[in-house]
Amino acid sequence: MRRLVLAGLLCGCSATSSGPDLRILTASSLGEVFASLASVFASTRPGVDVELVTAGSQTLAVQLRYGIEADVLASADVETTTRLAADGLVERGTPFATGQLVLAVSEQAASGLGLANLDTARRIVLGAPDAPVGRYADALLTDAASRFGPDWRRAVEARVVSREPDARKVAAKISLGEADAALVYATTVQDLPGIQTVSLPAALGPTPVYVQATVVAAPHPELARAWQAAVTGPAGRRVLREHGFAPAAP
Amino acid sequence: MSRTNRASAAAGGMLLVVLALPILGLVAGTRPADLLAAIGDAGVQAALWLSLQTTLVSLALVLAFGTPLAWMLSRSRGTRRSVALTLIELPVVMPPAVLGVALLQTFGRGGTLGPLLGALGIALPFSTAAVVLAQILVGAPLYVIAAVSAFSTVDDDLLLVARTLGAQPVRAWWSVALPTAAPGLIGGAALAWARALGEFGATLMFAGNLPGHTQTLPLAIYASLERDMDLARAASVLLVAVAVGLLLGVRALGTGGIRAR
Repeated sequence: MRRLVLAGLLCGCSATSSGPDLRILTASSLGEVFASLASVFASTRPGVDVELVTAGSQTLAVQLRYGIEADVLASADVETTTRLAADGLVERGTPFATGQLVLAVSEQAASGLGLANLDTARRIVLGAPDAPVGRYADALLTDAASRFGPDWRRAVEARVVSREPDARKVAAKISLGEADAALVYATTVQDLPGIQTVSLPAALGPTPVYVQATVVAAPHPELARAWQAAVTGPAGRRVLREHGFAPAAP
Repeated sequence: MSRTNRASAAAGGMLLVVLALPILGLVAGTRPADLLAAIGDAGVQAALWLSLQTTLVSLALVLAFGTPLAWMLSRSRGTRRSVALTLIELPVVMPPAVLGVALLQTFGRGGTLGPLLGALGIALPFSTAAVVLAQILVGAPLYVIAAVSAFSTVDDDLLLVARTLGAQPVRAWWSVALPTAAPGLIGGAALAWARALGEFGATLMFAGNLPGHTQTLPLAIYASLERDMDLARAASVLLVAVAVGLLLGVRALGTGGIRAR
């Protein structure tokens, strides 16, 4: 018995799980909705355990490149999946939902903060330039600069105090009141306390697109495809909508 | 070789292999050209420079405040000592990201001391001072714990002899206690400094990630992981090289200083 426990400790595995584990690499902005989707999926398939590995899309890509065993990748952008597909690590990705970037303003900050006077915010937090949430924000600022001018852009950049590695960390800084404003997904901040959201002109910036793909070396490719079909099926679309995502047209 | 010796060599060798393998793998997987590119990279340079500056400041503060604390604790006994030592050890146990949250809860704008600091015009989060504070939090325990055990070897009678020979208390401490404890102090300082250099989680949470201001080398490496894996790997090797160089330097300084006496 003791030897068994030791072996379990050494390989970090457990002998208790009965069925196959479907492992899904999940962009941090999809954390909550995928947790709901996972419980729905597991309830229709007794014995299947869904395991979510949640991190920024760029971190998930690194984990995949270094051989983490997984079945599905769900990234918060098209680029991450496309690059991994080009390198033969995942199959061609399917967009399954779109999101929305908003201006998240701390309740403690002066009210009346919007995109036009974003340069008056004392502390702005954005996603890192390599994270999807940061790339969307940069593109939006570039778009907005054509409207508000290059001085506005420079003033906004001067107020950026941090570029966080994923959407959740961006939102946390606003929720804690440490920063005044951030460009982040509407779905990430909708349930967090201490945050007011200001919607942005739809014409500005790119629309965040969520993509999922089967991992080429997936241990359970059948289950991986069943998962993706479930996400884009009626029940999955309902869950996505409940969490504020716009499901892609079937 | 006796049986015990062989057994301990085998066990010790196994641990050495486990400790060294990941580092060796990292170094072996890095081409010299990538290393040169990393050394020439402006972003890596800025991050390395910031790392060196902040860790030297945090080390100086840890030595300046940690040494008296460790001395005091080495001379005290009983409950107060155990309570203080446990408090000092706590940050070692806590995950760095949790330490970062704790720092925000304390020194952040919405934290316990937030209003007070705000009234004084001090804003710690997202500042270089926040980087130093995070480094102190993770590095100081290692130094103080090592220093307490080093000072515990100092014989009170020796100090007394120095006093009877006419030395003032501070001078007696400086010329008797400090040299006796020096090897332990230097080892602890090296460990604290190395831990500060590698600090990541608390820094990211409390100080954020902005190139030139709060992006230390570990944060820069994390940021470049997906954009440029070769650069990230080469910068990691650079971090390892800097750490090895400084640790060896400090150890040489320690033994040299002791021999010179």
